[in-house]
Amino acid sequence: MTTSFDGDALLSAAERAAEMPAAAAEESFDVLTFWVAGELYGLRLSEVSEVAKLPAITPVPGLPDVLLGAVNLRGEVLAVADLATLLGLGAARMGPDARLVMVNAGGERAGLLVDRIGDLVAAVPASRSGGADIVALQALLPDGSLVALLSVDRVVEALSRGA
Amino acid sequence: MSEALTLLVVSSGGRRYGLPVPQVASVDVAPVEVAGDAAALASALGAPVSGVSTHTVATSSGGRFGVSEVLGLSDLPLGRLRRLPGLLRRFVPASVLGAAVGDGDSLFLVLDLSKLDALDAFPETRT
Repeated sequence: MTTSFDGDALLSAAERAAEMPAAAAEESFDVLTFWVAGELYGLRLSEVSEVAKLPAITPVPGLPDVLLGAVNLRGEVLAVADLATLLGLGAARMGPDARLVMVNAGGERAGLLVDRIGDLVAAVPASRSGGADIVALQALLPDGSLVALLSVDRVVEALSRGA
Repeated sequence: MSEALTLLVVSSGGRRYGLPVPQVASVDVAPVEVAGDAAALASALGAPVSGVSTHTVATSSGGRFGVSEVLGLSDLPLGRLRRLPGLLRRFVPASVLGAAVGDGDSLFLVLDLSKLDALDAFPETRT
């Protein structure tokens, strides 16, 4: 949550909002933001099933670097992905604020390891990202900042390739 | 009474593994004598090897490998044996049968020793 007043950021947000087409303004959706290796990312809240504290990760032989192993979450065995490695930002940091962002994709749940949770905010699309990039689009947050919104389908597809 | 799978729980490469007892022929309190680290269970699984093998486990299918610690027997209720998620299964060796879930967040892998590429039971046949 923002605790300090930043007049310039507020004015920038106002200008962007004024430039936004009315149709885009109606496309507002809830975004869960989180930090990975010092970078802010987000997922549509509708694609997040749960946020969990980090259980002990059991390494599993044969996995590519983007997959860290398996966890037991209330009796359910789930795959854990290293989002930092997948995004090319180095290896995951498993600090005290680390969390698993659980997503549903391809018929199963998987946990995406993030450094810490950011906020739950309403956002609107700012620009779409094409191609096979796991970032689906840039979303504009209420404070005027942009966040890279991940595509769960593309993330899981990349994980299944071990990329 | 619910069905259970009796496991020999061992440690290799700093990780715990459950070995189905029906697939274990014997356990000797001595390290496997050939191939050094290559004979460790962790090595056979393609996992990092650390520590020294102190025991040799012989499998009923004729293989053998070293483990760094024998932690004991455990009756795993079948309801606590899980398949690994599909996202992981496509990468893991066939010798990983699944995962045993315990209380809290504990979890360890259960192996199928018949699919483990362990050392041949007769070291004199190896060069």
